[in-house]
Amino acid sequence: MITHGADRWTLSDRAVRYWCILPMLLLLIAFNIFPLLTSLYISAHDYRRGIHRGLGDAKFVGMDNYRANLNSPPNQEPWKSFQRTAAMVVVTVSLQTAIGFSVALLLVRKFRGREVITALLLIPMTLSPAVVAAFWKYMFNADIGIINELTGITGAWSGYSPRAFWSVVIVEVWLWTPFMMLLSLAGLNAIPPSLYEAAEVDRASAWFRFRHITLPLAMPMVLLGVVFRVMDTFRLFDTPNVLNGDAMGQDTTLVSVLLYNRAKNDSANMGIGTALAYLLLIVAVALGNIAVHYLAKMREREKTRGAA
Amino acid sequence: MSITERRAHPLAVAALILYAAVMLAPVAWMILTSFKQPADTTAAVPSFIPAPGTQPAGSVFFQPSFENYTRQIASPTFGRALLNSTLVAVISTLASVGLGAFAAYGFSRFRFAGSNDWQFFILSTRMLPAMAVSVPIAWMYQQLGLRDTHLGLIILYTCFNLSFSTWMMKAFIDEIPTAYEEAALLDGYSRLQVLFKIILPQASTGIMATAVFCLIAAWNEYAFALTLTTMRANTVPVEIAGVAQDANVVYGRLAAAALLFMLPIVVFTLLMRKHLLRGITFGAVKG
Repeated sequence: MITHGADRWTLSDRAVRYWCILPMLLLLIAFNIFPLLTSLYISAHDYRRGIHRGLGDAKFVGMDNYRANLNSPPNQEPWKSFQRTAAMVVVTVSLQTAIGFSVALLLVRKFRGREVITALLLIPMTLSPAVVAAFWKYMFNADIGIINELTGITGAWSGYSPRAFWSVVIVEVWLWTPFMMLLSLAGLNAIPPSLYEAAEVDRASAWFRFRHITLPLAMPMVLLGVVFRVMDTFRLFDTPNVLNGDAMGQDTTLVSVLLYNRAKNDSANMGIGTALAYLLLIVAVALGNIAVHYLAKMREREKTRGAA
Repeated sequence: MSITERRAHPLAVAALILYAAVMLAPVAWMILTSFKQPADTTAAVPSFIPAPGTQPAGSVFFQPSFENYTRQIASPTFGRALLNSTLVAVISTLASVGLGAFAAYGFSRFRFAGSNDWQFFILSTRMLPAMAVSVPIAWMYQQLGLRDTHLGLIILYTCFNLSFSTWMMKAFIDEIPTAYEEAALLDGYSRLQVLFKIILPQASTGIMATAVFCLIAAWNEYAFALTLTTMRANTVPVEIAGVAQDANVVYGRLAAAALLFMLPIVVFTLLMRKHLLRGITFGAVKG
């Protein structure tokens, strides 16, 4: 489809269209579809890395691995890990949203040094969760950690301690509250000033303005942030694994941590872990689709608002 | 009067300063720790204030030293991890921005059957939990000889960032009026010339912002690096998180290593602050 012109080579529109998109699609397909097919294959087999020489040696078991996961008692893995993950999502995302939105409400007002404070407050979300968690582990140390020293708490934050779950919550809230703050700020800044002027004329109370103007108009951006945070927390791995990855079956063994530990074990049937991964994938893709459609809707709304 | 034009109450400012102090305290503690000698990091009583000269045990003062930094920089394992991180992050960023720019132009300017579906597919690849695909990818990499190689991580991070870079750059390219291109095409420019001489220069800020986001994601990534690398291609997050599990960890050096690793990305992000929002919302909203 390449035609040689007088002094330059040109491509037809059709060729450009394919050459633009094709390389990227092929790469994504190769590194997404292929692993997913392999995953599907493994999940239908009893495959033990320590025993079988290759995937070909593994015994076909059909849907048994899925059944093993789905039929396990609710107070055991993997259901326990799903429950912990759900609890982690609810607790961290609520805290991130409540704190982030409140701080944003303070930050939209004018004051000296606002730019600097906003910039400083964004720092945690740019850091590598695994790296900062490694340092938080030191701060949570039962004997020499600064946190126990300052709060007067005695005892561990790791292992099977009931505080282990909260150590992950604290680090996650610290890391991602800035994210919710940033989105809340964007939502608040986009509210048309004319609405407040009208409310002023009507002598509406501060609470009325907040309840009927600020909250509903900032909400789409806040919800967008919530959707992203829910998705990310759902697959949370870095912080619980670094803070408390040594033992299994504790409050910080979230779904991703469980998957990682099952995959590490050479003598375990990888099929069961992979089947669980597939179940997780289905939930994650469903969540992802909600997010994507929400984004598309927001984009449409922005367009119509821009056109009006 | 807009909500943004109102002045803040002094109490609100005080509350914000207090909040900022709490949020930044862990970073401040990290900086202090990085200048401490081993005995000061493990003392029963924490010391907060650097002071010259030898300090008595149990005081709030400690004698600062640069030893953690000099030793950390000289450490061959850390140096290698830092080199690995840099190579993997920079090359994968260039690749994902390059391929993404073409794809973004394609999606932005050409309508074709299933275009929206493909775009959703692209974005949903970013939603996959790393741990849900790590087993098949590890297996695949074993067959291809890509385990524990830079190339393996580069390809994976490129794929991971490609979906994001395509979406974000498409949002920037969508905003460039098609009138320029049409005029250029009438003047006898080819499509490729239009892309290189008109579109890419006009979208340059958007491309820069996208690059920073890809760089941050690749620089900070941990889960894939943990499962796919061991000795040769391990990155700094894996190295530091591994050191933290060690019973004999030197906390001052851990803090120094973390700070050395974090500094470039923090500076970078603060410089690109204006584009932060747009990157987060995948270009959906004007930042």
